[in-house]
Amino acid sequence: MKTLLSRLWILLFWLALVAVWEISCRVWAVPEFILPMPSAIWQAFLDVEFNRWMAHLWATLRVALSGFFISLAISLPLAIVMLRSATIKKLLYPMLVVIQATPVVAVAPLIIVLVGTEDPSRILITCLITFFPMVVSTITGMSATPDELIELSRSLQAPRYRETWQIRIPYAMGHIFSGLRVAITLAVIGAVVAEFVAAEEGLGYFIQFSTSFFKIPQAFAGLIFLACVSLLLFKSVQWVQQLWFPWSLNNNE
Amino acid sequence: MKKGWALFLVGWLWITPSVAKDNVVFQLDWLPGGDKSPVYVGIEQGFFSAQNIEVKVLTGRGSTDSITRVAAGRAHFGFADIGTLMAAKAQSPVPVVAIHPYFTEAPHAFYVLSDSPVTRISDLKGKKVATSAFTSSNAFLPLVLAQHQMQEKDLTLIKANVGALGPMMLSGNVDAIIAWVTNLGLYKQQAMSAGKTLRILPWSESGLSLYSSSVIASERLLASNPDLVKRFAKAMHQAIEFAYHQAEQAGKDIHQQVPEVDAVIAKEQIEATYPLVFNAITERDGFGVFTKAYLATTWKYVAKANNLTEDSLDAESAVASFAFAGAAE
Amino acid sequence: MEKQALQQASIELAAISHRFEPAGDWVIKGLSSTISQHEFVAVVGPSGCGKSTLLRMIAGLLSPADGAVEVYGHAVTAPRDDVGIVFQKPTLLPWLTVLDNVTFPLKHKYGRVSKAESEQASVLLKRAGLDGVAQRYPHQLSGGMQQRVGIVRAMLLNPDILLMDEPFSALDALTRERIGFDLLDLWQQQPKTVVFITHSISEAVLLADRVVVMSARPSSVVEDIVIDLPRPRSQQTLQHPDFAALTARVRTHIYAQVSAD
Repeated sequence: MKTLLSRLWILLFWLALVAVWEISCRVWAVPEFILPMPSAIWQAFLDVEFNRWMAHLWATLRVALSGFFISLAISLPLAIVMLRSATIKKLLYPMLVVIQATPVVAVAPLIIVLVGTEDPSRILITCLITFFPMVVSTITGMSATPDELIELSRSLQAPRYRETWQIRIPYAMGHIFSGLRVAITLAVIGAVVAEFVAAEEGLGYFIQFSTSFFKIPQAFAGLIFLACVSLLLFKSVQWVQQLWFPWSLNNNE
Repeated sequence: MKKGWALFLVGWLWITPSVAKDNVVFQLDWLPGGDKSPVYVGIEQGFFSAQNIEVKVLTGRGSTDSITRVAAGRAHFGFADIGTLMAAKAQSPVPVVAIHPYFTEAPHAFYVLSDSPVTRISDLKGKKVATSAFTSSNAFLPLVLAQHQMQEKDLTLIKANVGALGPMMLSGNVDAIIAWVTNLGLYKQQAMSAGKTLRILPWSESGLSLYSSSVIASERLLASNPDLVKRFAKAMHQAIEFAYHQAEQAGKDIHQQVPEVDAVIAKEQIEATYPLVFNAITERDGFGVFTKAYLATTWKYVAKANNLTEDSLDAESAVASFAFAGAAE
Repeated sequence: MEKQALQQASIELAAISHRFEPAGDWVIKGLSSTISQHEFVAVVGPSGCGKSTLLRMIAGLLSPADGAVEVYGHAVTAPRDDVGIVFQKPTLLPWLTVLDNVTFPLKHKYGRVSKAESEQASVLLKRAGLDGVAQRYPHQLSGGMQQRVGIVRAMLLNPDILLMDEPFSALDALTRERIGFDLLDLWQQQPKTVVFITHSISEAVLLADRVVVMSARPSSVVEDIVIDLPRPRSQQTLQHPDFAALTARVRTHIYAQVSAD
């Protein structure tokens, strides 16, 4: 009941914000190219055919999600290896930091030239941007396992892989998921950055395209749609955590 | 579920373009729009299929981007400013050549508001001018100013994002902006939404006459399959003529291929671009032909604009030899 | 168990010394002690005197820098199957039910849990009064119940030696007392050698056969006090005339250490 009420308040707040936006634009006659009215944005949204929206959404989503899952598939084993071997960690960690410190926007055009203008290069760009938070959160999570549990494992003389799979990784889930929440929004950013550099479809491309035709309300519609998609993906990661890894939510021992 | 994943995989495991029989990739130098319509017209009107060519179009982000991708083998053909190509070739052996002229006049222009005291380029002395950071116009600016006894330091030049230029002028932050004449329609529309009108001062009218946007091709492809390149040039030739003489249909054709492009706006863009494509130069030399003299003039401007010596490039090496003879016949 | 087994030395600590870095300060210096089979020994001492370090050396998780630890006459070089550990915190796995937590050591060591073993775990849980919560998750249990699960887990492999590292320190006084008696019940049903580290002097005296008092760093055994209070121990033990005297004796030795510090 209480949550329902607070949700209602949040909804009211957003509606009020939109209303204030609409009214201020009308009262001060703000030109469309500076800040379009919500009604104009809504109209622009409706003017674009549904299946065009879906085509752009699918283009962005398949890049963002492929990049996200490939990143996940690489970062998990890598984190395990780096946790096991201090030498490998010393070898790879600076490399990861360099990758993270390099602005993806700057290398994206090079990647397009090297890898091509199709999805693989866009996915690679997405991987580069999502990779680091995943590796770091996994390593942090696995190192945060209580010493007693590791001692328990050692006192049982269990094989190392079971220590990793039965103790460290489940324990790290809380950390891994906070990394995943960051990574999923970064994945969308990565896909959009890639589309800014080379694309024939996608929400990022659509926004850039709309701007190039000075269709500012349409660009805003694309932007808001993209933000909603991002939010939904973020929420999905949370739902997955709540559904399958509920213990990791209050794992503050 | 399984099927969904299979489709998903197929979705992104696209095979990178390769020189299969006559499948080619065309690289635009910017996003789709009216001035890029010929390639879409070529597809829709069957000029390419008549030459047994299948074309896939990629969008681009500037002439440099386009040339780089053709040079790297990511695309076979493209649009690019021949000036940018010449400057690139003068500095390193870029395996790209022009095979067909497109704009035979410079597309660059100053835009001012109709109520502005600026009526001639020379009136810009001491004024604030906004330009986008990466446009090829910037290189030619000193040349245009010199023709009016000015230097760059006589202006306050502000570099901004393309999308911000119009609003900056309309809100009075700058006195003029630098943009291509091809976008006149868009800027007019934007000005109208603020209740204003525009005046355009094209650089071509003040004597900056040169080859600009051109159709380029990979030199490797030209060496391995000259026939394909010639057939492509021929199809493009027909497509450009069609597009500029049947602008309305061309607008529809591009809309067909790229639904986001409005057919009417594209038509207006084509009409605004017409003087760059068909003009006194094409009257004199014929359409679709590079002449050595005009190419030399172009190189002179380009070399000066880019601080290159004139002997750093044999201008004719930037053009495929068959293109001097004319591609149509 | 046979009478003679009681006489057998279960754990032998022979002049062990330890420090964590090669040139660091000694944490334990020349500590010797013998613990008989099925003896309940409590270890007390000032904070930081290396009680936990000692426990880990008996468990085979740590090797002493000098000296030797022997269990049943064999030098301890690695963790042994017949030693179980209960930690200060219950350290249950939050993603497993109580029953799965109890059988976790088997699953972890051998990769699977047989039906018989699972039933054995249920029996142990029942004996510890936890049969009603077998399918619950740790966060649904009180701290005392969680620690009981931790003890049951250590019991499942039926180790001969049970090492307990301040197992009740996180619990409130009442729970602590009750769970202590529960532990004694279990111990009497299934006799084991217990090494019980604690901060509480009265707890040590109440539960143990012998209280070993350790000195401050570098620590060794300063006093070994036999607690000859009658068994089974209960609330009444607290009223036993010797109880106060014994706790006072232990306390004196500890305070002597602290003031000497």
